[in-house]
Amino acid sequence: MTGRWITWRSRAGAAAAVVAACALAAGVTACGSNSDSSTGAASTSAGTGTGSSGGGTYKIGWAEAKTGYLALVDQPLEKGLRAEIARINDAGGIDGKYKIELETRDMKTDAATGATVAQELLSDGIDALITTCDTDVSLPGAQIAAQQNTPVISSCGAGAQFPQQVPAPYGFLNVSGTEAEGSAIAEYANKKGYKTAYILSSNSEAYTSRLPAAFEKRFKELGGRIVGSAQYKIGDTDYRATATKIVSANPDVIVPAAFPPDSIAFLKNLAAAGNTKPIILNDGNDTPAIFGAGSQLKNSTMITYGGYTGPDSTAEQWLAAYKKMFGGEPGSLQTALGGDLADALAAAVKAAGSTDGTKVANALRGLPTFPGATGPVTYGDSTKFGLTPGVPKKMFAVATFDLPNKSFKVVESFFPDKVVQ
Amino acid sequence: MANDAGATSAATPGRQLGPWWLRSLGGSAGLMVVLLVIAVAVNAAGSPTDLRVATTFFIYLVVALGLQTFTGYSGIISFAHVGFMALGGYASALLTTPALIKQTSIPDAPHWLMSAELNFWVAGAIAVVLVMLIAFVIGIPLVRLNGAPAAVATIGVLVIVNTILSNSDSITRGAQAFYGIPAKTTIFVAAAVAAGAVLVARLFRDSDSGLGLRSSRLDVLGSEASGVNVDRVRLLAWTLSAGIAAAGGVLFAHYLTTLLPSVFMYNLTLTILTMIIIGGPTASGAVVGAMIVSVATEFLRRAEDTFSAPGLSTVVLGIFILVTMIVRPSGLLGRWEIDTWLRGRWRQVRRVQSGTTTGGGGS
Amino acid sequence: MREVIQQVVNGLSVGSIYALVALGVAIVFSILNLVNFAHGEFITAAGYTMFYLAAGDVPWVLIFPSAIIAGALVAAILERVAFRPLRGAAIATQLLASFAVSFAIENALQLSVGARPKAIDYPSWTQTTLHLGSIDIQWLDITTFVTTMAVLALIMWYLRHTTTGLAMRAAADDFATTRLMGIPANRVVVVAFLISGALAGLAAIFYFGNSPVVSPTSGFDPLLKGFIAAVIGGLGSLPGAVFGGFLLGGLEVAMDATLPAGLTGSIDAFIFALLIIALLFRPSGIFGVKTAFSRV
Repeated sequence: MTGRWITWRSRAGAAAAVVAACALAAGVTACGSNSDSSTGAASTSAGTGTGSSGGGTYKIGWAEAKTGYLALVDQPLEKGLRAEIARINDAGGIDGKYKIELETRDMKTDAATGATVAQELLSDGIDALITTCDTDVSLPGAQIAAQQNTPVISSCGAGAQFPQQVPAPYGFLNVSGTEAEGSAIAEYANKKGYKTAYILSSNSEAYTSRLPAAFEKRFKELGGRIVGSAQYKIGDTDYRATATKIVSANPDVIVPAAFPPDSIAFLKNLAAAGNTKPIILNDGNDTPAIFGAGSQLKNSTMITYGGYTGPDSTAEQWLAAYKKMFGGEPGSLQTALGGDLADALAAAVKAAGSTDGTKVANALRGLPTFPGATGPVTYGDSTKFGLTPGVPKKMFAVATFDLPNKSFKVVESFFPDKVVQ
Repeated sequence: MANDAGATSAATPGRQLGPWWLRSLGGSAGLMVVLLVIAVAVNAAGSPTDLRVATTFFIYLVVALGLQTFTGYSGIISFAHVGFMALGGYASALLTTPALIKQTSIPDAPHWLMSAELNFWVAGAIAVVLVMLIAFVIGIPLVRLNGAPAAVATIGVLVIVNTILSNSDSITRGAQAFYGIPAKTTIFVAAAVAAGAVLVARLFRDSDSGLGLRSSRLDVLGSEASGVNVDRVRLLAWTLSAGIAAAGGVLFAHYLTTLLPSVFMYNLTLTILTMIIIGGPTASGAVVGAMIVSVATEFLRRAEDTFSAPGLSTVVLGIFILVTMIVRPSGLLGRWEIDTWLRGRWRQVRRVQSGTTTGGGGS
Repeated sequence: MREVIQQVVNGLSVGSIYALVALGVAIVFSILNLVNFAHGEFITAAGYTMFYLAAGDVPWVLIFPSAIIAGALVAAILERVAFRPLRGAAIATQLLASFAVSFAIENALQLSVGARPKAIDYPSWTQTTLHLGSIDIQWLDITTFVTTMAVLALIMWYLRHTTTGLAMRAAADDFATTRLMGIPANRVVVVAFLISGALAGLAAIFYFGNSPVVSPTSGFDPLLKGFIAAVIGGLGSLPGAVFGGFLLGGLEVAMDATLPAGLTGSIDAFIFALLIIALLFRPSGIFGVKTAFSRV
């Protein structure tokens, strides 16, 4: 937790501000602006109720972490999303009818601010809400959106219960969830012939505690054995003692549920302790900073999203749009998840034939496989693959690290045969 | 320490009307009315966003008043109060969340907890009392510390509370969000509790114990020599303040309807601390500080979105705090409650008008 | 046995970093009674200095001193801009001011260089190890420990044998009287901040050597540890701070090595619990004599 306390959260006050200013200082201009904003809000919320946006636009709002620790996952995804929106709009919009608009606001990696920002976006008349890359932090804002009949997708949060925690059918994930990823790591480890594993987990976050649990369950089902585990606290930068223990335990594979900067320190300490065993990293490490970890990346692989190139995806067009917009390659494979956000909403709006929140949400819940930037994506029937409604089936990418060029190399894409619960 | 002595030092010298508690009551009445007027005005004229922002302000104000009751009056900095807020929030959440939701969210919890579906006010009261008991026990050793050791020890309380909550998977869902808490905190509930907290903080400040505590802020040995049992009044303040902070936590839980441990850490702690230090060590100081910080943060947040410079607000706010502290190191209101300050100014004005030049009260 | 020796080395290395940070915190505190939460920003500043210089292919013989200078420089600037105007204010006010400074800097960094952590390209020798029989010791750990010891000796010498050093010891004892004796207060304070910042810069070199990623918030964790160590040692005492650093480092590694897996994530909570218990018996720390500085 340490080190992540930095963003000063936004607090209470606009109304208090304005009203207090009016009452105490008799500020005429302040009162004027207050009445403006309240009438604006009233009219737009009425608009949302009647189905909204007749002008051929589909407005997406993102209560995004632009500051705070989730900023480093949300920010690249925003670029991915912007590229895909530009591509769809250039091709005439959704189904040739609706141009997509995006409005982003900083929620400062804070749950309470996230709720305020969500309300603000909803008052601005958005048709769908994207929340930050953590389903727990997203929840207060997501509740508000769902209560106002607006579909809500967490940008890359992985808590599979999220869609059930907000009123149905409005809640969605943009990834296959922690359990699917843990299962994928286990199946990949099994395929590589690893029989024993050492786990690093943390109770500081749901993701870092549930991912290793899912891995362990699936790995054991496949006949693997856990020879040791250690816990850390997110924000820890010293893993020397743990690394020494791991090297002594001599497992076939090491599975740390950690992401930078923690995972980098962990890998550095493993190198110092003389580790030569393979390591499987999770999608949280899909960021250029990971190359600071150095030599241990040679024996590491990473399970993430993106890097798919098949014709049943929008990957190629999305990548071209991305390069056109930002003049370079994306820094991470999962930047494509940003593209998926636009692809999913566009496909749902097209299927619903409307921008109405309830119709779009229902359409997305039942949507058969459609091409996304990370590969083929399935929301409908996702229960067949062991996923819960609202959680999509997406291809996982197995990536290795090209140290000299500081780039990721995708080896294969797959989805686990079984997702443990 | 006698009540009369208290009255003399709390208010400007001059005519005293009625017993101390009646004057405290009268003194806080103005602030309480202002808070309720804000609530009514925002509810009537504000957008849904304004409503959320104002409600958040009232909730943080309650916690700030709690912290003020200890830190402001004793001069000992505490990082622990957001931890008490968390405990209060979780306690009330556990007692009120529908059993149906708890069966899926915390299936391994003990049966009595699973089936508990108490009324919001009852659960809130239980939560506050529970937190006060906990605070009392850990307060016994803690109140003996001063300065930096106290700061570190209270950071310790915050970290320990966070660690316990993050690891209690079977009861609080650990680091995962605890959801489905009934939404009970309307702007009026929050404003009413805030007004109540103003009253409690003010009454305690003007009481014998509050006076003793405030005298120890200036000189521990001196106040002990004058018969104040410093450890005792500190423990009293600590327990009471934890209760107020817990009430803030209860409001927060039933406002956000979702709790997670990481919310109750350094960020929120710092915001609350800033509120009381900017305003000054009185109940009015907490209100003024909370108002300024809330208004400034929200204004900057909106400006930030307009200029698309995320993080700018914090830079500006940090500099703003620093400048405020350099210009007025003891807070904007200094040691005065707003009513005594106003009365002092009024007397000054009258004296000037009537030609007398003795500088009486005032800042 | 091999693992035990390895863990002792780990403990000494971690402890060295904590000791350097704690010493920096204690030097400023002993003179000004200022609990400086912005000390973490000195570490962050040194980290970014290393990142940008290393990215610009500056040789490491220049980068390391630059990191130390960066720490000292930021400390001196903050002293002038933020802390000097507040000198003499209540402890709580100063503490919060240091918090405010820390927040402003972190967010300014986030605005200017971004939230994404940057990997510092450390020279490859920091990764090499010394083989002693079956035991591998990282050269970085050896350097950390040896340098820390040398620097501590240097500072003790400075405080005993130079005029400014003597003035600082006197100021720690009684700042008011020292000023009456004609010692310029600002000079003493600025030197204290410079040393404090330089120690943070040095700590940063070793800290990031182990975890080579710098972000706007990376100074907080080492700061908190240094702060705990300084309190263990009794905030005014310099030898106490150093001792506290090594004690804390040793405790952390020992807990990490011996506690069952489920508990190793809660080490901070255990450390704090132990600290609170210790403070019960010695409310001003183990070396809790306010003026121990004068007796170094």
